[in-house]
Order: sequence, then structure tokens, then C-alpha cells
Amino acid sequence: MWFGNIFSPKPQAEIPPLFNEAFLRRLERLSLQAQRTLRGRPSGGAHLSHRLLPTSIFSDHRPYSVGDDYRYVDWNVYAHQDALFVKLGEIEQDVTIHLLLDASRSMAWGSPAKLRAAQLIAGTLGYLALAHNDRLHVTSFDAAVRREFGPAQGKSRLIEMLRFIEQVQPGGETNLRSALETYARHHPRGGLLVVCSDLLAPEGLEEGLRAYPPPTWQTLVIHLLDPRELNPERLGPIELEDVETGKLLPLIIDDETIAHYRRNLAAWQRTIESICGRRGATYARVLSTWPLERQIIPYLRARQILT
Amino acid sequence: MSFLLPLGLLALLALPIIVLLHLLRERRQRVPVPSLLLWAHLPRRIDGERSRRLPLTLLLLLHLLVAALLGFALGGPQIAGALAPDARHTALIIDTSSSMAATDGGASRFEQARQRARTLIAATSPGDRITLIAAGPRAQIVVSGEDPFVLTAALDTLRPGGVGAAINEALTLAEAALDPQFSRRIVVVTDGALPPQPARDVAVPVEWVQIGSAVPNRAIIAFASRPWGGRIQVYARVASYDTAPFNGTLRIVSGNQVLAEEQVTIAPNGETEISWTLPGGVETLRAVIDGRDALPQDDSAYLSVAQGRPITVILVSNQPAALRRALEVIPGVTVVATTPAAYATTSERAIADLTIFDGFLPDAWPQGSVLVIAPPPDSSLLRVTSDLQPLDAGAPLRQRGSTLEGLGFGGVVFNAVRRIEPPPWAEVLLASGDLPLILRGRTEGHEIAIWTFDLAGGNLTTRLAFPLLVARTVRDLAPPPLPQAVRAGEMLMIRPDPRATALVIRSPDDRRIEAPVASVVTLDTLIEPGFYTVEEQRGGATVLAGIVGVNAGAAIESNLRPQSAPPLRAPGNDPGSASGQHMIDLWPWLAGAALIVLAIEWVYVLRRR
Repeated sequence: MWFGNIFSPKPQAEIPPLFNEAFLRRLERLSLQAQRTLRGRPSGGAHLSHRLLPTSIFSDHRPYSVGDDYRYVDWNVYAHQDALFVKLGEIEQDVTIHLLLDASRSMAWGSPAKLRAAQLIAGTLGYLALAHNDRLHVTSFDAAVRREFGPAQGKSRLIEMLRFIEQVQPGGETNLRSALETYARHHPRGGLLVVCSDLLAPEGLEEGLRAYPPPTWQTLVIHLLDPRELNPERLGPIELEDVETGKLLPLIIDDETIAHYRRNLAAWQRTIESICGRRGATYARVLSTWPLERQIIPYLRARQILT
Repeated sequence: MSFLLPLGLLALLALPIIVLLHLLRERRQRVPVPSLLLWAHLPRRIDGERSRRLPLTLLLLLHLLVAALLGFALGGPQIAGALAPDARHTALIIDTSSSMAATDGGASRFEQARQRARTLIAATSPGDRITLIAAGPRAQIVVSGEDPFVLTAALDTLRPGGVGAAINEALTLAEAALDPQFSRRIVVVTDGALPPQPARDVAVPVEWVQIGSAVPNRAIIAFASRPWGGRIQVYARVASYDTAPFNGTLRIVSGNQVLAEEQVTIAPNGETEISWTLPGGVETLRAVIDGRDALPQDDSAYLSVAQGRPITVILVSNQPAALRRALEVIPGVTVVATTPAAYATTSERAIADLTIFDGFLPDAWPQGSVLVIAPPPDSSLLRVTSDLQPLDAGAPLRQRGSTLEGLGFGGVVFNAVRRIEPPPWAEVLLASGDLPLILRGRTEGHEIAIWTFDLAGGNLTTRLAFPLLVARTVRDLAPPPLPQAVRAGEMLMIRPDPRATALVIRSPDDRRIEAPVASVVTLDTLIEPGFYTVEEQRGGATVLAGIVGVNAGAAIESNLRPQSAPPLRAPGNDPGSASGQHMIDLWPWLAGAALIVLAIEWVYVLRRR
């Protein structure tokens, strides 16, 4: 009957896939900017290490010591100086990329949802990691660590990684401290950590980032915000409902309230930026409505997170 | 504007209640936010200030509007309508008696009447109303309204038939149906074939439209028979309504066989009577006169001859002789005698129309009717409070009811009577002091008579009253036979067998009419002359079939000469009309508007979600 669907939920608009093949091909030209201080494995990878090791393309010498590979002895120096020197050069290494994806209920808010922006960013960074032969961990968290993908290396794990990211669903409340500390305990070797979150937790960011000290860790905090969080509407007398806790707050949203809110928001962002600075983390604020290829990636390149 | 039900305006008290409810509990719009982190320490606005102010929301306005509309609707508001001052309400009475079927001037009188009615309907203005009333043997309102198509369609369903036109009854119906807010009038379209009417007052103007002219007609206006030994005596009366003498042939037919034929000569506007003695053995008789006149329906008369209804009686008694003798002389009665001990195994129990228990009662009432004589004291069906006791000879007998009418119990001695407590379903027909002697009633579909006296203990069986009492009791308890014939449209009352589950009537043109079974079934739809078959059915099988003749011939209907209008005292103008002012009810509009506002509110609330 025609009235049978009146009370049925409206059909959801079809969500487009996170990535398409052409975009991923264009993405291959980029790479993650990892610090040289990160400890990786020299067997593969494209990131320069701060260590100098015997190599055929050299930039320095050191005296030969027992056990050095004869192949790296500089015989020309031996001919001139009658002493054995080993050629030293810069090597490339892989690094471990840790992508932490906030899957709390607040990430489902917004249009599009902040979680979708986080998925896009995590998918992009994950793809770059796999394309450049880095070791990759992708983990979703809310109050605790929820689901993990990895370690993975090589593009053969790409589909698996994208599928994992797509299947992340928003769940409980945010607890940054608990989630970050737990994750750090399970990954003591360090690496490049990218946290994609709206950071909407009353406290815990500073304590959580304390578990990721440089130079073992290079931390990047991508703060996701919805434009409506920056510019709330003038709604009059309403009841605000916290989507995570369900708490209600009766309020009259007028110009005065909005001005107060903006001041709170600016102070909060400054606090986060300050915490990140103190803990050696890079802070990047991203709006969930930004198009990935035209705005987010150029922004990350401008912030020298991508090269 | 006026209010039909001013008390309904009390519903407007809902308005302040709605405002109060909105003041007390204004529901804020709930807006989800990702976190209250940044909202929690904002300076709050004072809630009390807002709650004291009337929240003029769209929802409140819609609620108030709906309540106001419904409140006013309940008050029954009316306004002086825009009805044209000459809006009329006409009660159109059409004579549908059988005389209207007469052919007169090339068309039947009824067709002429219908044409007049069509013209009248077509001449109505918008806003005029017509109530169509059919005056046959009974008057009934056929339709009332303003739509000419509906009125014409209802007019086309009418058919003439039935003896007598209840014009008086129709006038009463018309007076009651006419709306005093209109200019009222009554139009009677009839051929005037009416019985003499007493003078009567009519409150509204009456227009009498006479249809038809003097056309000759012959009719069989009486037809009857009675058994005469093994033969049948038949009587017929034929009338001629003509200014010239009539010579013709009258035949008596049974089936396709002509049993008698006689030349009749009737003086102008005269009658003649003929009787025959015919051989028995026929079921139906039809009298036919070769009228060749305007109304062929009354040229034949129908009579059902074999109308006896067989009655099977089971007599349960240890001393059945006296009762059996009295029963066997009743025509159509078959008696099966048995003893109380053998009653349970008697095979005729299933077909018994009447069971007589003498000094005995089973645990449950049997099928059919029951006569209980001297019920035993240990019965579960009747409460017997004493054993057999002699009756006080000095106490006078009190008798009532048609069954005992004319029966003399003088000299009858009731020496052995059981006192019973009369059940609530029975009435006492004969009593001596406070001691019931004969009771009659109906319970659980059983017709029951109770004689509290023992036949062997007195002298009743030797008195003349005994066979009469037995015969009347049997006739009273058993379903009566069908009448030989009735007049077309006359009320036929049938008392079917209590065990019948269906009553089927087949008309002369083999139409099947099913009537709901009741203790008395009343039929007034037998209008077409001819033989009707009445079948009593049980479980789909016909258990008894009878025939009833329906005749259209009657002196009042067959005389087709124009009659003068009855003396009606009616005003020239409608004194009761409200000067053309018509009050229009507003409540349907208000209720409709309330529904529309409710729908808007529904959409608004859904959108807000």
C-alpha cells in the first residue's frame, strides 16, 4: 500500500566507495615524510636512515675492523695510504606506520560523518605506507583499542587494508589516554604514529601522547572537525544531546551563547596544539567536509606530512 | 448564527488546558552534538523566565485551532442558509396497488403515474427535496433526497401489485417526513381505487393527481372451497364493472385439466355467484374468466385445496385408551402409543410433531411440541410440589386464553391433581383457586402445555369437553396449516415447525425467497397473483411443503371507474414552513477543517523528527 512506507526509515543514500583506482595511482607519487631518527629495517623501504652503514655509494670512510665486508673496503685509499678503510654511505630503510582511527560515537556526527573523513585519510596514508614498502598497523579505538589490522607490508595487502578501514563502525565513548597508552605498550619499537580523531574527550590527550616520546616515535595528530562545530547555528531554546553519553543540556543558543562557544572552541584548540607541541607531535586540523584530493592532501603536503 | 447544542461549547474549555500544558511542559527541540565538552560551561539562560512566557510555537497554534474547531463543531452551530426562499420539500405518494396495473389509454395506469412523477422530479429546482412514498397494501418511504437521478432510479424500481392502497398511512408518513424548514406539499398520484376514507386533517397542502378513466373490467372477487365427503364444494363470485352486460365462460382448472366450465351472464355493474361440487383428489384449483379487459391479473383466482398438515403424535402412557380415542378423531393426526419404559427406544421420537407424556417425564424436552399430563414429582423439568390430591369441589374454576374459550368444565371432577410451581415461561390457562390445572408456554424452542390433573382420577374423559380440549390443545401446539389463499400483498403469517431451520418460498415465476425462521414468520411480499410454494427445510432437506394461492381480485381494486378523492382537510399554503429560511449545519465543515489541521500538524511533527 502507498502508506505502508510512511513510517519506515528513509532509504539511506548510497555511500560512494572510499577510493577509486585512478586516485590511488595518482597517490603513488606521494610518500609519507618520516624522520630519519625513526628506527627501521634497512632491508627495504624508501626512508633515509640517520645511520651510516657500509655501502657501495659512499659519503664517508672509517677504519676497517674485523668482520667488515671486504666488498666495502676502499682499495684506492689502501693503494695511496696503505691502510684499510671501509666506505660508508646513507642507506634507505622502511619504517613502521601506525594509523590510529577514532571510532567513537562522536565520529559518526556531521555531514559527511567525521569518521568518513578519518577513513579517507587513514586509507590514503595506509596506501602510501604499503606502496612504499613500509610496515603498516591500522587500529580503531574508542575507550580502548578495538580492532587491529597488520602488521602488513607491500601492496598485496592493499585490498585487505581498505576493507578493514571501510568496516570500522562508530561505537562507544572516547578515552584517549587509555587507548593511546594501551597501544604504546603493545608497540614498543616505535614508528610513525598518525592519530585521526575529533579529540572530543575531556582529558587524556597529554597523558596519552606521553607514551610516544620522540625520537622513537614520530607522532602526527590529525584533528577532525565539522564546519558546524566551528559555526553552530542560532537555534534558540533547545536541548543539546551528547551523542556519546546521552547527556542532555538545555540551552538557549543565541548570539551571546555562540560567542562564548567560539571562545571555548578557540581555547580548546590552542590547548590541543600546545599539548602536541610539548609532546613533539605535529598537529593538523582538518575539516571533515574538505575534499580529499583537492584540499586534505595539499594541506598535508603543505604541513610537510606528505612529500 | 445559533447553536443546536450549546452545551457542546463546553469543549472550548480545552483551549486554556492546552495553553497550560504547553506552559508547563514545553518540549525543547533536541539537537544532537558530538560532545557537550565545549557547551558545558557556557553561561546558562534562566529557564524560569522562558517557562512563564507563552511559547507561541506553530504546534501550540495548531493545537488551539483544532480544539477550537472541534469545540464549535460540538456546539452544533447553524447559520441562516443561502437556500432559495422557494425551496420546496415534496412528498410524492404513488399508488402501487394492483389496480394501477390496469391498461388505460394505451399504457398502464402505473406507467402514467410514473411519468407524472418523473415530470415532477424534473421540474424541481436545485435545493428542492423530494420524498418518494409507495402506497401499496402498506405505505413505505422509498427514497428521500435532492438528486433527480437517485429519485428517478428509485422510481423505476417500483412495481404495482397488492390489494389496497394505504393512502392514509402514506399521508401520515409524508407529514412526518416533510422538513418544516422547506415549503412543504404532498402530491398523491393514484387511480382512486380506494376503500371509503374517513375525513382527515392534513397539516400541509395536498395535491391529488387522479390517473385513469372509466374502463370496463371483470374480476373473480371471491373463490373458496370446502371438502364435502370425498368431494369438494367450490364457490366463486364474479363481478363485472361495465355499463354493458357481460357474457363469458368461467372455467375451473386443476393443473392443465378443466374440471368445470360454465357460461355466466352478468348485468351491468353486477355480480354473479357460482358453485360446483367437484371430485376430490386435487391439490390446487384455478378459476379463469375470459375477461379480455384492462386488468388481466384479476381474471384468475387461485386456491390451494389440500392444506391439511399431518401431525405425528407419540403418546407415552400406561393407560392411553381415552387419549388415543380423542386423538385419532382429529383429522391428519397419526398416533403412536408407547409406555414410559419403552419410550427411550421408540423410533418415531425423531419425527414426532407432538409428544404426550402421561404421568411421566424424561430428563430433557424431546423435539417438537409437548403435552405433559400429571407430571411426576421427581421430574427435573418441572417443579412438582405435591403428590396427587383431590380438588376442592367448591372452588371456582378460572379460565383464560383462546384455547379454552367456549369450553365448559361444569360437572367435571378433578379428583387427582398435582400441585406444580408454574415455571416462568408458562402462563396458567385454567386454575382452581391458586392451584394451576392447565398451563401453556414456550421454552428453548419447545411449545409446551401442562395438565396437572390425572385423567384416570376424574371424569373428564367421559365429558364432551375432553375431545374438544384435546383437539384444541393439539391444534394449539402443532404448527397450523397454511391458508388456502390470501389476497395479493396481504400479510401472511406462518408458524413453521419449531425444528425447521429454513423457510423457502417459491413464487409463481419460480423465484426463490428465503425467510429467516422464527416462531412466527410474517410475509408481505406475496404480490404477484398465482400459486406460491412454502417449504419448511431442516438440514437442507424439505420436511414439509405447502401451497398458498395469492389472488389480485377484490371489489375495491377491480372496479376501475374513477373514484372521487377522499375528504382531506388540507391548507392551501404551508403554514409551518420557516418562511423559506433554511438553517445550514456548520459542524461538518468545522470537523473537516479540524481534520485538515490535524493532518498539517501530523506532517509538521514528522518533518521535525
